[in-house]
Amino acid sequence: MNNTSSLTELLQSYDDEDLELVPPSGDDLDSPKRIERQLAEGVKRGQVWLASDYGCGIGSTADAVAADSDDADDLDDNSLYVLVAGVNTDDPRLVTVIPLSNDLRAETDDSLVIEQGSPLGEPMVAWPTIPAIIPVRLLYKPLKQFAPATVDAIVANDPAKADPADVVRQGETNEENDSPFVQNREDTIAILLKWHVMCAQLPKLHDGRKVTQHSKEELEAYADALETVLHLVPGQRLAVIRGKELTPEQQQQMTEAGFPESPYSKPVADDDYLIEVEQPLWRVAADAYASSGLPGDPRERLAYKAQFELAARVNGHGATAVRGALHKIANEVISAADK
Amino acid sequence: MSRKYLDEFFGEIRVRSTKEVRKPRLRFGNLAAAFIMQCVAKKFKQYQSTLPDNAPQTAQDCANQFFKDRLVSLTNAMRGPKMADDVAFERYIRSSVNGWFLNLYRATEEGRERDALRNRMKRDKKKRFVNMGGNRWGLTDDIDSIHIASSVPEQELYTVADSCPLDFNAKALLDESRKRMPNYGKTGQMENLLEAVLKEARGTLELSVLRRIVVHRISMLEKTLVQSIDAGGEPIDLPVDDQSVEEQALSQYSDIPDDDAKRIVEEMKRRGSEWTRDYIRQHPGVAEMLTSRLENDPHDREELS
Repeated sequence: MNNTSSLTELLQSYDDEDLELVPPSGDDLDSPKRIERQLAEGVKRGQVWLASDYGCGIGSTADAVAADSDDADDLDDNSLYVLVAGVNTDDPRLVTVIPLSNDLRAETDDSLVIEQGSPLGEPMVAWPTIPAIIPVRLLYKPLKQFAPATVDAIVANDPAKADPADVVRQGETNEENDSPFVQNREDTIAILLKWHVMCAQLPKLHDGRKVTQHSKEELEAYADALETVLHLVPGQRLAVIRGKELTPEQQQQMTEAGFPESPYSKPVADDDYLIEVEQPLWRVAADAYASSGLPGDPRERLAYKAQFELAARVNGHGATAVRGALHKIANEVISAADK
Repeated sequence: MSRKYLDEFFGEIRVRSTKEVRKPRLRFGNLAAAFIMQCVAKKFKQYQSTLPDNAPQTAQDCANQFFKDRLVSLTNAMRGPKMADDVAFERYIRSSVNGWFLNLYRATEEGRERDALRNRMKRDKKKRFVNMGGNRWGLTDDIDSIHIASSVPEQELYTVADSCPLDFNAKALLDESRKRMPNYGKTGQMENLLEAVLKEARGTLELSVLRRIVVHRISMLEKTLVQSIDAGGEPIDLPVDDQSVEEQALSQYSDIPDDDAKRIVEEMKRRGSEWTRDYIRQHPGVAEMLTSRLENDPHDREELS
């Protein structure tokens, strides 16, 4: 960013000419259509993303999102530019990233500086020495990508490998990196740690637990057992019937009494729905769901609705089918939120 | 949902007839500048009487300084998920301006401390200290280590500093009517402390590291102030016991198991950004946790009973 104008200079710039405002378009970094296109491509190595945990707390609800106040000063939510170093093949809900910054005041001895070649069009700092595994749902906005050779250079922490058209050098600690106005290396590590911990809190994948039907007798017998075995009062029994999970101790007692599985536990969507819904493409829908005030984890709910609640049932679990179903649900949820 | 600030920021403003660009993309324009100026002017009135001496003295100067300090974070925020419309922009600017004023004291105090330290080392009569460039300082006599950056853990440097004597004039310190901060240490003590720390470092240290260590040493001193004033009102500078100081310094982290990522994150949220930065500097192992597996890994599949 070569913006060296002071604020007062900006105030005086262009008063009385006949001016037009041209929004970003085509291949401009911030053109909404370009962003949509890149979102649809999915997450790939070499891409630059703006990652943000706004509204992404695992189990975040409408309340949390609405609790914004004048004094919040984005204290609780953080954002970072990141380079995607690799998607986790075991669990595509996770991604390995290398943190970046467009603030040269944050430069340190253990960083690389990409003077030329950054998709943001301005020099960026990269920290190949602090890669992190984070949930892919945190990737908010795709911002093009580095040239493949430069990606290799960054990941390997070796400027010599960079694309010949790009300029990459070793970093040098900047005097100002301790300033409270700079999001520095330590701040970055703290944010990545917070995000890394979220990985353990993602909904458990279920290896294909199927939805089963239960008879009236089964439902009644279980409800009775809640009273006779666990001694739950009516209010508590009702909560369990509505899908509240038992504690491990309670589950143990029920199992010993002959009721290993609750017929009331909410069916969950299959793994491929749960995995797909974590992708950045569905974030807008997840945020819309969260802000609509409906209960439940937004992504789990979207996955569930996509699998079980579409009027025209989707057959099969191939990627196309899953995405098609999610598209339909996403459109419903987003247009409902816009009303 | 009005988005005039966003449109102005992301758009290019040009003269309709000649296509000459008046405002390139990704820069703030008139509208944003006017709102920022308005917020700063309001807050300036509120904070004016408490501003430190080397802070900008007019609302206009504050606005320019704010803009310079915060430009990167403001620009990045424009791309973020919270910046949905004008209301969000105005809210963000208000809170950013407020935070800037609050941080002003912290930033200028640090700047002042750095200047004071730099001057002490430059003016040392024994010429013990040399600036090796890029704010790194070393000992003139230490030919071996003068060209390498210290790799000694900061913790050890704190310990050395804590065992260096540092007398001070308690009366002067406690006198609220004094404008200028009294010098810490009798003549030469501060320089001796810096020399001891640099010796222990076996390499060059950044000015900001030296500042942190000195500030820590002074705060240790001030802790003993209340307990150790003699009959004449003069402080008794207690000889500092190595072990107990190290324990004290470590105790602020001792009840956080350093392999419990979740605990560390909770503590960081509780204690704030300065504590967090210090913690991470003192625990290089944190970076390695970022690619480790965690407890309750989603891949630990429960056996279905």
